[in-house]
Amino acid sequence: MSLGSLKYLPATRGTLLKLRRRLQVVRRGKEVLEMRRDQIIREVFILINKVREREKIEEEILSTINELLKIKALRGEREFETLVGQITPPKIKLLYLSYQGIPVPQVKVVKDPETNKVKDPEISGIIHKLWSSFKKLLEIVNMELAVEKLLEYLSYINRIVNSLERNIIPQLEETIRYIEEKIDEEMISEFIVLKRISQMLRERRRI
Amino acid sequence: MKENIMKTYIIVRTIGLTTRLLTLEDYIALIRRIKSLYELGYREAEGVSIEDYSEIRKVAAKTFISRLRFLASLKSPYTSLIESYLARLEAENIKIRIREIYSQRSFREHYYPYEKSVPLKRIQEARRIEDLTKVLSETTYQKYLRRLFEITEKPSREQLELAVDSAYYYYLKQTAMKCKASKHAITLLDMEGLVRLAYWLITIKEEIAKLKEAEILNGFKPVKTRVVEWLEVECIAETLGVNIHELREFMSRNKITEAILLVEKSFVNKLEKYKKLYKMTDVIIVYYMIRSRIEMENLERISLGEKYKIPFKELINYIIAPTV
Repeated sequence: MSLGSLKYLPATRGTLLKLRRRLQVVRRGKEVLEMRRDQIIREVFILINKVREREKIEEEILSTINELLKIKALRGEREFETLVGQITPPKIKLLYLSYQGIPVPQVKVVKDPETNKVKDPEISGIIHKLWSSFKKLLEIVNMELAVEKLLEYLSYINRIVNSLERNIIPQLEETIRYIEEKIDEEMISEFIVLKRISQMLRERRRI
Repeated sequence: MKENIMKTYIIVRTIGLTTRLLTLEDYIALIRRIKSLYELGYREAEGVSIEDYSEIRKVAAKTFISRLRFLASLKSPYTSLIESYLARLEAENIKIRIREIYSQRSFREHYYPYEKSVPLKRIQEARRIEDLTKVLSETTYQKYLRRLFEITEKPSREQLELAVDSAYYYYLKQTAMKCKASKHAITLLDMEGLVRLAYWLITIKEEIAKLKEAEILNGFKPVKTRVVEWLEVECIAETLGVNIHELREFMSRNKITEAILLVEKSFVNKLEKYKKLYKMTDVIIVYYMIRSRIEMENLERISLGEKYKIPFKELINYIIAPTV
């Protein structure tokens, strides 16, 4: 039953009961959605606090890159690249994880780079350091993705709650009030008709 | 008689050539853009910017090769020594191939345009380490590679590279002795080998004992230089006049690049002292060869430093040039 068809409903007691039940369900639904919204907001705040660490991690990465470039400049590209090339690159996988029941794409590290393939402790050390910082950044990226998806979902919930609050519930209430009035009017007119009939019957008996 | 004339001629000629080597002031002028590489005598670098690393690398390598080839072409008793010094590029090419095989990646752009005992193509075509050792079986590099395979079936990449380096220095010093090079000239070659050995001693210290037992490190063993214990980094550093405290500090923080830079800088100062002491001897030839190689590496460093926007004050520290 769409909202538009509410005005064509027969003003009967049955319809009134059905609409009252429906209003109750809608109100309960709205409450549930509001609770879920609060829950998601709480989760977003927790994640945002962690995402704030991004700046620190980025600085860490930049300083490691600067260190790495210095080593590269000193050793020469030939030596540096052929040595770093020995390290097996990491394996990364994209999968969906559930955050508050919402599927969020997440980057997961399946395998770390094998820095031990280079015995030069400086090269393996700097690559290890860079990878550790990068891994932290990946975690932040995952949280950012989660925040983005949660916010998307939050705005969806907000739209539904708003629509329930400002559109569906008032319309249902309006229709219920209309039907109640209609039934009351019908009851009164029935009562009057009945009263008139009984009056007429009484008058006829008297005659 | 003729041999003596040629010896004197090449020494005099080399003295002239050493005046064209870049000085610290030249490097500063290059970094500060006061002079271009072309203006500093690199005729092939016309229009090449110092930031253009791939071009600078090519020009620097070509110049190094042509400088030494020219010296070798003078048909002196030192021709074979000069050629064997140049073979360092071939050793580097072999090491790059080893790295390619181990990582299963291509580093084609990093090969030097140089070949001596084996055509470069044959080195590049070797698919496995076994194939590479077969290709090198007739060359000087086989000496320690064979020994390495006797002690271990599957040597690590580092062990193979070290064996190649060791074989190269063995060959170089043997050639120097065959050429009847002076004690001081061989001492400089000894020292250069020790600088390389220092890197290996720091990098794979756990494996050194095993390799020493198999006599794989013998190529680095000084022939004319007195070192208290040639397999100890600190003894090598002492011989080269390195500040031990500074070296220890770098090593404790795993700053190998800076530690080796420190050692190389001291070596260059030692080189300069030898040049001044034994000016009219074959020391000048070894001096010129080593300084030319260092100049090639310095230009690569400057170019990379400029490419990565490394501040002037830091970049100037990366340059290896005599300060005495």
